[in-house]
Amino acid sequence: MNDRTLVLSLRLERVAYRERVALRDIALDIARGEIVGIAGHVGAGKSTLALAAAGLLGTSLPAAIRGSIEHPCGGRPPAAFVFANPSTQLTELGETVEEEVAVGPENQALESHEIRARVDAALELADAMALALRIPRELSGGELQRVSLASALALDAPLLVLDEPTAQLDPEAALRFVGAVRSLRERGVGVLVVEQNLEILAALADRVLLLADGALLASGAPAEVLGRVPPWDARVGGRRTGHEADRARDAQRPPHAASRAPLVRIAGLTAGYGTRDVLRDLSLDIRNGEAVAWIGRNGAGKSTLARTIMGLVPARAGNIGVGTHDLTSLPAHERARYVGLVFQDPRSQLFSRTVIEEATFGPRTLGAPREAALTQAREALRAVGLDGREKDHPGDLAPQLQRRLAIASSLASRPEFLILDEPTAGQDAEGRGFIGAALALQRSRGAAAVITHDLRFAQDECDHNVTITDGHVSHIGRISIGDDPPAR
Amino acid sequence: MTNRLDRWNPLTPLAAALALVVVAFAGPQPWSPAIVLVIAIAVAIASGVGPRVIALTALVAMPTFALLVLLDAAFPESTATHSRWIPNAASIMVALAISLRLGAAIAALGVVVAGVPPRRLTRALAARGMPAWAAYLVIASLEAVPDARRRADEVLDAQRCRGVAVGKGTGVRGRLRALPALAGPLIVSLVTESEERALALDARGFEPRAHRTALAPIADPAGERWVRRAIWLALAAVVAWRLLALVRSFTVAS
Repeated sequence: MNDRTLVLSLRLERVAYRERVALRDIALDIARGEIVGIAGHVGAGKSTLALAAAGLLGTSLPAAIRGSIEHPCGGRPPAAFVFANPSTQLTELGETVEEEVAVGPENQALESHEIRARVDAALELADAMALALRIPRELSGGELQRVSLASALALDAPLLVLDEPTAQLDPEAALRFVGAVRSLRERGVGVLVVEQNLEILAALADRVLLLADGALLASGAPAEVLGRVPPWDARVGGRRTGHEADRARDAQRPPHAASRAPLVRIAGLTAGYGTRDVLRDLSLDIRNGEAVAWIGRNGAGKSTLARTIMGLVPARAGNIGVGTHDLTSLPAHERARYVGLVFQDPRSQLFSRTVIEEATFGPRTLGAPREAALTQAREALRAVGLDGREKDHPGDLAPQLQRRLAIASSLASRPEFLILDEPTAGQDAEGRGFIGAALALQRSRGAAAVITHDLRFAQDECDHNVTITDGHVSHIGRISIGDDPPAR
Repeated sequence: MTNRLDRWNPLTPLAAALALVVVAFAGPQPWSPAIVLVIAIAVAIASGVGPRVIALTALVAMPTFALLVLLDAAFPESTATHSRWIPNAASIMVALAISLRLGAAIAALGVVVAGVPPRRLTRALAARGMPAWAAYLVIASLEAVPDARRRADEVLDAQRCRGVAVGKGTGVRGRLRALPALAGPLIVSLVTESEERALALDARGFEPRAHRTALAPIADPAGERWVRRAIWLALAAVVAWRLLALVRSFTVAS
């Protein structure tokens, strides 16, 4: 259904945060049943445009807006919004998932039977019905993302705005998500979707807007617009491309990793929370010079495996060895000499006044002399593309750059084994290239594991994939995916 | 987790707790607060929240008692009647009476705080006309400590991964060195989280003064409404009796 009744009419001359202009000269209309995609590099203004379209700029988020934003179909609220970070979606007014999803309809003062119908339909469409009675804070990132989508759908708003909605979804869930959003077209819902995964954008959108440095660069059919820039390398303008990072990475990649001895040895590992075992008798070897991708469905135990190796979750049985060291009985801060773990949310870690101080903190804490720590930090910052930003305040960096800084500060400590949890979420092609370069640097002196749902990144940057299913290794091998976007 | 208080509309235990607090302060001393304390602890144990309520009560009442005794010993009314730094029986009895009243009030209210989920309580209050902003304020206040603790755990984990040593065996110097790495991200993330919460509420059409409905309205059977009326009536009687006694004592004195 696409009846040209507008759900959004947006004319923005200028949007600025304090002195920084984030958007200029943008015009966007979205009709009922239309799906519009937004692409562009980190800092292009995609999220600002999404927030403006949803009517959230200037109210909850202070910004100076010159122009008009109209929602001709009305609604309370006129648009539903799915945030890039799914924990941002939580209002905490609900104790369980279904109560959290019900918050919107409750605000609309619907009768309880209407709320129940909305909640059930939204959970069903977002593939989150099985999570209905779970506690939101205990969900994995991917599960939470499905709950975020359900919370937005329950509002039954004429416009749905999605900011990086598949960043933490496993491939199967991402496909179901694409199906769910497509089905909204039939219901006459207009959709605006910001997405770094251009394959998903190409499969989903009726038309795409390409932004660069706050301005509209191109607009039209996905094939036409996404074809105007190198298809999977969409940083438009910039000082260093993913291709340059690729070359640096290839030069550092050690040959014949498979012939080397295992560096990481995990045997019969069982661990969990409360009475629930999340990992069950898991065994895994990772060789020196290897980068492996840990893949699997949301909630399969990938992050728990990382936390157990790091000593943040106690092992109930089994052994963990890195190099010649048995880590099983060491506390987390002592394991940090041998293992590094970078979490999804860098905000839990960054505290220094400058980027360089942040990057030297790890090596200094582990006893490196100041000069050596500086050398290690500069090398790590160069790998992730933050050279030249040493004097910046970490809080002033975009979230994607903060994530790269968190990777650099762990890399600078030179652990033998480095684990990255969803490092490419929200990153553009350039960012992915730099994270690949960081992985290559790590491989040159040890091994790495990447928890990811980004199969293209896994294929390009990792030696093989380890599939984790219900807390154990169910498959080890390579995934090969095509170079072309899926047909619409 | 459910407990025995879940069978009731949250307003009923709340009314009972408020009534017990009034009785503890207005009833004959020291028997009223002593009886209230016993009742509150018994209800807490029966509701499955005994250890939390006992700990909370002890945490408030015992230091209060110690502090009052210490203050009286340090600054006696008259050094002529008893010497400094040696508490006398009378001051101990006064400290005991005040601590008992405070302990009884904390125990009675603690049963509600520990035994009734905050969201259930606010839903029941919202059904009685409490505005959305006030309901949110109650939840945010009650959840502030667990939220901060959760964020602190996340920060602690992230910094332990970078080699920061905390906990047993860490000296004072080590703890001081770790402080900026722990406090910085915690403060920033708590501020950011409160901003995000406001954004999340806005995105879901939350309006502070608007009426909200509920997915699962909390039942309020006629029997319970009568119980609450009886509680308010008894409470009014106790207050009236105390006021009367007060007026009478003034009359006799004059």
